[in-house]
Amino acid sequence: MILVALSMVAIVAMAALSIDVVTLYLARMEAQRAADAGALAGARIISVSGLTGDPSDNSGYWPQICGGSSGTATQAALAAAQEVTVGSVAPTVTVTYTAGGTTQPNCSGLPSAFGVNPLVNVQVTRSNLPTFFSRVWGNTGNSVTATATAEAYNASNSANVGNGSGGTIIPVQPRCVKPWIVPNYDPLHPSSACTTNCNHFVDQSSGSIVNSGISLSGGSANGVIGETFWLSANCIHTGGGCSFRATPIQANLTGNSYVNGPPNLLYYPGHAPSSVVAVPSCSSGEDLYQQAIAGCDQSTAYQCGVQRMNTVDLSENPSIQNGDTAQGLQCLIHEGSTTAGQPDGQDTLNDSSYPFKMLAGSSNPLVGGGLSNGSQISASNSVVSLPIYDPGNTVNSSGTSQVTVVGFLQVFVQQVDQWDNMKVTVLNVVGCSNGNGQPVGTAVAGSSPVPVRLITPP
Amino acid sequence: MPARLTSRRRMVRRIAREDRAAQLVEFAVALPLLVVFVVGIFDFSSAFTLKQKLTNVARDAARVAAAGPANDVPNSSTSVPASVSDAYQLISNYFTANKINNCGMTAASYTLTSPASWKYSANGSGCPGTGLVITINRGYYFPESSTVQTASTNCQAQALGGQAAEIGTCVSIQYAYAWRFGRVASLLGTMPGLPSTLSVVSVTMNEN
Repeated sequence: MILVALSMVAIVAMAALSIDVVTLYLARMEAQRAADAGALAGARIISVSGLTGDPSDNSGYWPQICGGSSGTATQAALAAAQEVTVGSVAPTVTVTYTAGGTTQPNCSGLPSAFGVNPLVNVQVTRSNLPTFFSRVWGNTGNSVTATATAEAYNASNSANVGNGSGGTIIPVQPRCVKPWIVPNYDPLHPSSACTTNCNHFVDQSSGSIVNSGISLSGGSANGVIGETFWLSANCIHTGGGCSFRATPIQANLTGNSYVNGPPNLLYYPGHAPSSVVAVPSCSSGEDLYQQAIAGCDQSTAYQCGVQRMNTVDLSENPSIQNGDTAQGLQCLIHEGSTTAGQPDGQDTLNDSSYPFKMLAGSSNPLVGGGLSNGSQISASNSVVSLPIYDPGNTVNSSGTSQVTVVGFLQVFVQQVDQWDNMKVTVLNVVGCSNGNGQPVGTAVAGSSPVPVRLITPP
Repeated sequence: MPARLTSRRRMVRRIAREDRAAQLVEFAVALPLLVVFVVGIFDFSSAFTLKQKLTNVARDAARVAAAGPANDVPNSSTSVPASVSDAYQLISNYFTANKINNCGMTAASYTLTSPASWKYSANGSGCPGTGLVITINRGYYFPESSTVQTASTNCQAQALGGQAAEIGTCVSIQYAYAWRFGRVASLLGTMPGLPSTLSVVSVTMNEN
């Protein structure tokens, strides 16, 4: 009996070790999963908010995104981390922001590196985990903690800010870039017709954003983020190929009855890829150029800053009445008719206050599944990326020409009209150098020009 | 006579001192306990291991799908979007690599359950009960800020209560698990309520 009693102690100890410790390990892993999801969600909100388009916080909008518990990124990180349970209950979550070695719950006042490379830390704690056997000797209320750090990265001028001076620019390579290659001209600076005298979106030697800042209601009062303008192909709207509406390419073209605006910006059609993935059924089987608009072109690498890497293809004509651009975009953003009153079913953007709100339209596929029409949403098919090229590159009047991509625009497409003009609002601008200061290293790939990823905390 | 008597007495005395029978009785009493321990260790450890593997693959699948293009999410019920197919393929490969029985699931075993939610299910290849059920909801959403809500195993989107919708991807894996422990534990007279499936859910916010 004494032996049994003694061995019972040993057996219970073993059971405690195995069951209770495994419970701890499982909870630790679940906490890590929650932390990862939270950190990524926070970084994603920062990415799409355009915060990195105002790297010095001149507009004073940062606190609305990451200024403590009321910031949208903080709230999203919290909500996402608490979506999964740790040991059957939602865990306790703390969100902080890091830049230049400083970590605090409020991102305003962080060093300037935050404007280029914001880091979101999420700490997940689950306390009072149940114990099954080790409570025999009074061990209860174990707790586990996991942390995760995610970054958003805007390559603009990162050689001088994000990496410290004398660093190198690490290029970015967003996925699903649309084949609309726009010149590096900001159509709202100035808002009159301009060619070589336009202000640039991004500085071609340092990669920095020229007019950084966030403007409301489509204007340009504070900076480039939030500017709304029309994008039109630099192609005469009839015929097979593309002959120029304006030579050289320009912003704010006037006097053309097929081009809306100003403000407007002309673009060149990009080379259609050999295959496109994720094509919605409304554009499947169509011309590859249209599929690249409605679907996701994963084969063309628009690589930031590499000399003459990308192809303008004038054998494409993106702009005949209700042509490839209109059809592909209608399919992508679920716009009903190009001639009806707008919006006609597609998602909309409320940019009259910051942060900008994306609102679900009546044709948003999720609206059919319980989301109510007009709900604010965090992701939309209307958000697309397009390459910015160095307008110093000459483009031949026919066939293909190679151009250098110096940056990317991320825009929200508000509508497309029957002449294939698109009304877009700038959400993000990313610049990298023109090849004089070649970007170094493997490009950071991502869904957005401001990619997000999990990193090991510095 | 006296010699016989003494030997019989000696034998009785020896038997009385003998503890082999006592050992037998003790062993008979301890055996169910021992079996419960051994089977319990075996059963629970394989359940924990399986749950850990499922947790890993659910997280990876959600991340892959959430980073993929969302353009083709409102698709027909006869095909799946590229991102959902990627996530399924990842799970399928993981099952093969880790020698987990996939219950005969194929890339075609899906149904569209809500506008952007695909449910794969299979219960062949000797899987008990409901077998393997994988739900991938590319249009999962949850409120930006409110009281805590956690994702359910069917990946049904959350009520928003007027809040902004954080749109994400929810991956849920439910795997029927045949407990050997339950039957063995009933030897001791109690039947513990063990879950018939191991479920894991993972949610990641969509990148586009």
